[in-house]
Amino acid sequence: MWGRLGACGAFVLSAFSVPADEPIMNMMPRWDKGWGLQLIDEYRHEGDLLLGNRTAYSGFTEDVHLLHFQGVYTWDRSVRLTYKLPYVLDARREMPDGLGGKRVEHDSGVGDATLALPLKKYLNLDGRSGSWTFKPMLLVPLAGDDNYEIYDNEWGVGIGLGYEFEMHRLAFVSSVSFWAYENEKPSESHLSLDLGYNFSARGTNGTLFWETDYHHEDDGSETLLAGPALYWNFNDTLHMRLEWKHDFHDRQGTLDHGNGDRYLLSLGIVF
Amino acid sequence: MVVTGLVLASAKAADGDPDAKQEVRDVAALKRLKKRKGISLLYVKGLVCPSCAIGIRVKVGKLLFVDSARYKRGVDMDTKTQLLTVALLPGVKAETRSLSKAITDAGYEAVEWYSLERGKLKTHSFAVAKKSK
Repeated sequence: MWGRLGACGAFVLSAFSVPADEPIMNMMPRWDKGWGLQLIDEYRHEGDLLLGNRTAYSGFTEDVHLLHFQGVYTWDRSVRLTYKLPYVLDARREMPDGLGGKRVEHDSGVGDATLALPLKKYLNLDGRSGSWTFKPMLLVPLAGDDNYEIYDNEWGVGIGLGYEFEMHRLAFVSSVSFWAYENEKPSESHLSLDLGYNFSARGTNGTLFWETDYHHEDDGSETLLAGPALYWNFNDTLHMRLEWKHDFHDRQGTLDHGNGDRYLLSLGIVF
Repeated sequence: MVVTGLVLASAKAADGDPDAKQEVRDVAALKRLKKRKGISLLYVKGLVCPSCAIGIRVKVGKLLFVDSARYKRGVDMDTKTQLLTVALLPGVKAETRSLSKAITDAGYEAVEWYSLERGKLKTHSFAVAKKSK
């Protein structure tokens, strides 16, 4: 049975999650005619090959190293345009070869780009500032077309909604989004909840977050991942973010990797 | 537990952070005006986080009457009281209209500015200033 699954595994689409956060650090620029660039170095490691709730192949790993090139321009403070272009530096996964062994597959190159138009409604209250966001999104296929692809080279459309606020010490960010794709790739829903504590140190400031994400695909796949993130504002121009998320619950509707961790280092500049 | 905490935090925020109450702000404004010279002092609604000040500095720092060599690009802020201190060039008065517009463009709301009259705090509303123009 596992041999048959292994053969099927060669053709499964690799699940990926479109990052919900927008440049720069999901915060800036809030001002008219502002712009920024962000570079994210992402590494993720998945420990097992899953099917449904069970581990189909223990120790069959996947390691993915990505760079994300992102940018934002704000015409009016309530209208932003963002782009996100991922580049797969190296992706490696182990799949069953049908003979009881492992077959190693690789991927590299440009991924699919995401364009988004976040429309913001800001609120300024006594002691609290925040915004509501409505975000139409478009996934543009730029990736290659192989058996193993981190990005699936498909058109997709998405809609996102968000609510966030900050107080003197507290930061709260929430969002939901839905993606539908052109061909056989299952549609996806994402839910994100971040809670942060603002701090200042030596003329700089930052926020320590606890972030929780939930992803669902309509083939029955679902992942609950959570972990800490540190945002650091060095100065008005340079910003940094460190993030680690662990899969606390992973279920795969088709044979795919899971039970892993994700690490991100972001650097952003804003003007 | 997390959801309850968020709801409580949100409810508290809707009422305003106690640190940002008018009485607390007035005391802080009076103290600041007595201590610092050549400034314009304002209450900016929503200016609650250090990152919020970036847009304010980008927009306000460009105004011709602002002394950008003082503070950080001519701007200092207190996120507890939402008081914004703008450094003025020597002998120059602040233009409230352009100040208010710069703050709006930065994403926040300029509510009032303060002056000292015979050692007492006087509050001026930006809304009144707008209407009278």
